[in-house]
Amino acid sequence: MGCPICDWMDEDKLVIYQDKHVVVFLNSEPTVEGHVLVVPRQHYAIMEQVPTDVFEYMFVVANRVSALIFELLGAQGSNILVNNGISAGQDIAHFYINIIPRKENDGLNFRWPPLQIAQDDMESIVAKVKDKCDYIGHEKPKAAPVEVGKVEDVSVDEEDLRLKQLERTP
Amino acid sequence: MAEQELTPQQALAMQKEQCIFCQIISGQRPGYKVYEDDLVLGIMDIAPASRGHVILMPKEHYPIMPMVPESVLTHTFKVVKGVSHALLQSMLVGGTNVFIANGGHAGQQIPHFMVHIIPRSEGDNVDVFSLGRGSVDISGISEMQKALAGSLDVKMQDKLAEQGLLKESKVTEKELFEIIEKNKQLQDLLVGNIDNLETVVESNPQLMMMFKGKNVSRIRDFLLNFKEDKGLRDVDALLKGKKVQRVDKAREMLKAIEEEASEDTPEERLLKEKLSLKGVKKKNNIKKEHEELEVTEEDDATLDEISELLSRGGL
Repeated sequence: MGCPICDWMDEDKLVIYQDKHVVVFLNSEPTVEGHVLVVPRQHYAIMEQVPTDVFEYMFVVANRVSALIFELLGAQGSNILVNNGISAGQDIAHFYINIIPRKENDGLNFRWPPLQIAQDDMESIVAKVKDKCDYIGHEKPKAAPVEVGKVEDVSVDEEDLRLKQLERTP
Repeated sequence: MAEQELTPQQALAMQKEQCIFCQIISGQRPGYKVYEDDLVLGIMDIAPASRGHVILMPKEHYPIMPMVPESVLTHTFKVVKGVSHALLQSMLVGGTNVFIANGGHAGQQIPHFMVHIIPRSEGDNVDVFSLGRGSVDISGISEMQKALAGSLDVKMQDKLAEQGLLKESKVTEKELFEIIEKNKQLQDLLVGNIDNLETVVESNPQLMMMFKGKNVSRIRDFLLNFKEDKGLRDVDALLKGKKVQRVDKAREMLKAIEEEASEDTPEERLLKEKLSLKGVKKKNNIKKEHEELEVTEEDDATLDEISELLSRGGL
């Protein structure tokens, strides 16, 4: 279906690590030297489709890659970034994690201009978000304290608009 | 400065005490909490990139991501996925950014590891997360690939082992010897503390693969001989131009000490049999003598001084 990331996997292009669940690449069009991508081996377009155990594991791998670039590339910091959905800047319809080595004066800047939000507006946002967050790990809103390690997968609506959007990307 | 006298643990405790996120977690400071369980807390960022910008953090104070234990890390990202989904539904947005900054140069402002989950909609003017492409010289990329690939396999060895993907280590005995020769810690274990060698090797998949199928006792002997030669070279240096005969005497002395080495305890004998190592203790002693010699800087040491040095060692 013409997924560039699946193609790179087949071609073994710039692969620096792979196992049953993940493949780690050097980005062939890096933002900075040493820009690494962690991808699930299975093709999942968006984050919601990635099974939670694979998602967690991808970050375990990302964390070790991040530690390695400190050691090996002399990075002084690292950014880990996921763009999930076209409106978040996702450019390939295959979920991936960016790992960006950082050095002093490297010209990158991920600082956002802070938004001013009035307190009553903030409180209404909190109420809305909290309401949905209460479902994390539960079928219904939680009644008891959350049990660690019992977070369920979120289901994906096949008709998800974001999927359709991504499928239209070149 | 007083700060320099702090141990890393004390410094961390101090950092934790001053950490505003720890204060929010403990309730000393207010925060807009949206999610909480035993391990993590999610609050609204008060300087958000967009409406509904959540920061999720472990309740324990970990300055950067590599310091977070894996069990906490996996739980955190389990919740990250849930929060991202909750934001899509509650803020009615088309996407989310998940963003982590490790270190001041990466834009981390407060040393408490956290994950930003940022709701994104088209035209929201949050353009800091679009990554530039194609302006970086990639001529060295295949060298970098090679360097990273080998080290990453090593770093991921436990996971590869769990998945049954661990390849037989290609390290030859000679290479293993060279690795040990360069690694002071391994050297000390092999020569001076075999009691721990087995435990250390078994608890480290990387070492386990390297040592797998290797003749440890041969490497050990090789290492000890190597050391012995080096030790004698040092004796030569000490005697500096004095008669060769004296070097021979020093050699004899070394031998004598080797023979005088005390008896092994039954436990040690058992361990040695297990590791198929011979003459462990004797050589231990010799190694110590050599170390003594190596640290000596006296140029014109007399034979007596050397013998004194040699007799000072021992377990």
